[in-house]
Parts: sequence; structure tokens; C-alpha cells
Amino acid sequence: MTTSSLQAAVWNLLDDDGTYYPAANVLGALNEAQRFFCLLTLCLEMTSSFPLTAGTAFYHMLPVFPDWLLPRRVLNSAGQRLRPGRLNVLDALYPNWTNSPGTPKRYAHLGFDLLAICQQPTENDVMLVTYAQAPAPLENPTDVPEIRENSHFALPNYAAYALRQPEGGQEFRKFLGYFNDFLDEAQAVQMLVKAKNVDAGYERPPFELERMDRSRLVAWGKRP
Amino acid sequence: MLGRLGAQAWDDLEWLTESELYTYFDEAAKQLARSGVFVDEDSTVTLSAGESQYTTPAGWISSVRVSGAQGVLRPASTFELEALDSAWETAQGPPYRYSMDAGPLGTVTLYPQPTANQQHETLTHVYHRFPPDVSTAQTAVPVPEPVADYFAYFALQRARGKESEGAMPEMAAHFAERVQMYEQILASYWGEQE
Repeated sequence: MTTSSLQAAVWNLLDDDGTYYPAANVLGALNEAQRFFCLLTLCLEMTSSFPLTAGTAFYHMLPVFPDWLLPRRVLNSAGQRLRPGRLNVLDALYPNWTNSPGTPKRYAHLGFDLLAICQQPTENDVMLVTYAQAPAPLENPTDVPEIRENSHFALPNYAAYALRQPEGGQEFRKFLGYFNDFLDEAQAVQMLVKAKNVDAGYERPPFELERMDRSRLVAWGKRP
Repeated sequence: MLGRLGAQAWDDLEWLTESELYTYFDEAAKQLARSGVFVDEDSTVTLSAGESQYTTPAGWISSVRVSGAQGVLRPASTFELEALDSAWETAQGPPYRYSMDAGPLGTVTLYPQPTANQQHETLTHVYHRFPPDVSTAQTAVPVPEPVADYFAYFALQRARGKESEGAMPEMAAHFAERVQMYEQILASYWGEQE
């Protein structure tokens, strides 16, 4: 589905033609929907080279990859996979690993985007990073969401729910069911991503939506 | 955000100001920081002979790892330092322990005190931090794109929950649930693990 067809689907759900819900607001809600979908499922990933500076152990990833979410796989320039670990593991293995020249063998991920590399190359180098990615924003009528096409229908559901938030009360309550449908689709995609993660040996699985108690979040609503 | 508040311009909103909204964003950033998602590394401090106390980096909340030229320093409480060495405050040598409670809040104390041999060695500090204050003059926070929506829902929760003509208690309750959901997600992906 293109952005224009998604906008039409949102207006259809809201019984509007753009009079009450302007196109810019609908576009904003669709972008929020896709961002949240990717956050829940980690369904998008990107592989890109990352520059390493000689003798440097710590790197912030967001300045280099603005669409960064989480590391999935890291390879050194020789194509060997860096094993994920925590700082205390690195300390146990290499007592002075922050000042330890050598081929990168392990990494630790801390907070939003800090990556610690152990060991550090003696000359500037690169590593190949596969990371869970945030989607590119939809801007033009012909843009197509990056999430798989089977899940596109979930985006207007979320957008309609988001656009009804300023109204509150019954007008909002009617659309909580659409939000629940959105979460159902995200949960289904999570299962696929989890299966792939196991096969690929990725470190961190998507958020456990199936174990989350949604009752208070969507309790008000029933899909019309 | 204006659309989310049912307005097209700030003049349409008599019950909320732009600076108030940024106060909510700042509060959201501070709350997020407490879950350990902002982690930074600082290597700007160099050791001085006979000096055991050093200021922690700006925005410091808690330390994850402190290391010197010889490697990682082990954390220790004042009680442990006293048990280890009755003269710990004046002992000198290459530091191998650090304490966050031996000195004033916002300082790290090294044991033993560095000597001339350690002069100018770098102290590397990995730490949880607060991001820079969010305001109309400082709007950027270094977070992954989807996390921006956490700030929006946090502000909506506060805005709709306060006593005003824009109050919507039922929506504030829903936004609180969304904020809680975001916090669970963010903690599972990026929360404190060390």
C-alpha cells in the first residue's frame, strides 16, 4: 500500500475526507504507527559498515546510524563475528581490555547506543554491523511503508486510534479495538522475528508482547 | 504535538504553554534516565599525584565501570576501605579501588592515592547519565527515533491530567498506560544490565 492509499484507509475508518483530520495529521499518525510497530517487533534490519578509530574502545552509534535501535550481529573486517558480552565479562577475559590492541573479538552494548569494542585495532578499521532499524518516515503519496506488506493494514488501525485521542470519551473509546488489532498483528510478526533471531543467533529478542497484560490498555474499547 | 492536543497553533491553547510542554519533555527525559538508558564514557580526567578525589562527569547518575591505565578498578564502600587499610586516606600507590561514597556526592575517590608514577594517566569512566536539560532552546535528546513517542505520551499524560479546561482524566489514565508500556519496552531493550 502507498501512503496515499493508507491515508484513504484512515479517512475511511474515521468517516472523513480530510476535512476534520488533515492529511498532515494523518501522515503523522501513520508514521507513529510504523515507528511503534518496528519498536515492538524489531522487524527491520540493516547491515552497514562502521568506521573504527585506532585505539578507541567506545563508540556512540546514533551519530553514525540515525535509524539505530539495537545491534543484531557485528563482524570485524576479517569477517569474524564479534561475540556479545557485558563489561564484567570483558574485564574477566582481558584485564585491561580498553587499552588492548588487537583484532576486535567481542563487543558490549550499553544503553541506547554505546558500543564497547574489545580489542581495539592499531590502525583505523571498519566493522560490519547488522542492527535493528527504525523505519524511514513516509513523506510522499507514493512512499511505501518498509514493514512487510501483509502488515500494512495495521497502520491505518493505529492511525485512526491515535487521531481520535484529542477527542477523548466515547469518540476515542470506539477506536481502542483498532489499537488492539494493531497489537495483535505486531504480536504475530514478533513470533516470526523471534524464530529468525534464534536461527541467526541474535542477542536480544523483541519485547514480549504476548506476556504483557493489555487489559487496562484496551479495556474500554470494543471494535465497532 | 499541537494536533495531539486538539489545536493548530499555540494561540488556540489557553490551558497549556509551550514552555510547560517542554517541562514535561524534560521530566520524561529525567525519568527515562533513571532506568539506565543513557550511558556515556568519559576519558577527560587525568590523575594527579597525591590527589584521591576526582569530580564525576556532567550529568552523572551512577558508575558502570571505572578504569585506569592498569585496568579496571574494583568498587568499594568506605567501610570496605577502612577494613582493608586503616590508613586508606593517605596510602599511596597505583589505584586499584574506587569509592563513590568516600567523598562528597559527585566525586569518585581512588585508593590508594596516585603517585608521581601515575601522574597524567587517564581515568576512564563509563556511567549512567542524565541527558542535557530539554527546553525550547535545547530540543534534541539523543534517543532512537521511536523513543520520541515516549516523550509525546508522557507530555500528553501530564497535560491531560492537570487541572485545566483541557483536562481529560480518562485520557490521562490511558496515556499513563501507554507510558508504562513504553517504559517496559525500553527497559527490555536498553535498560540497566551491568
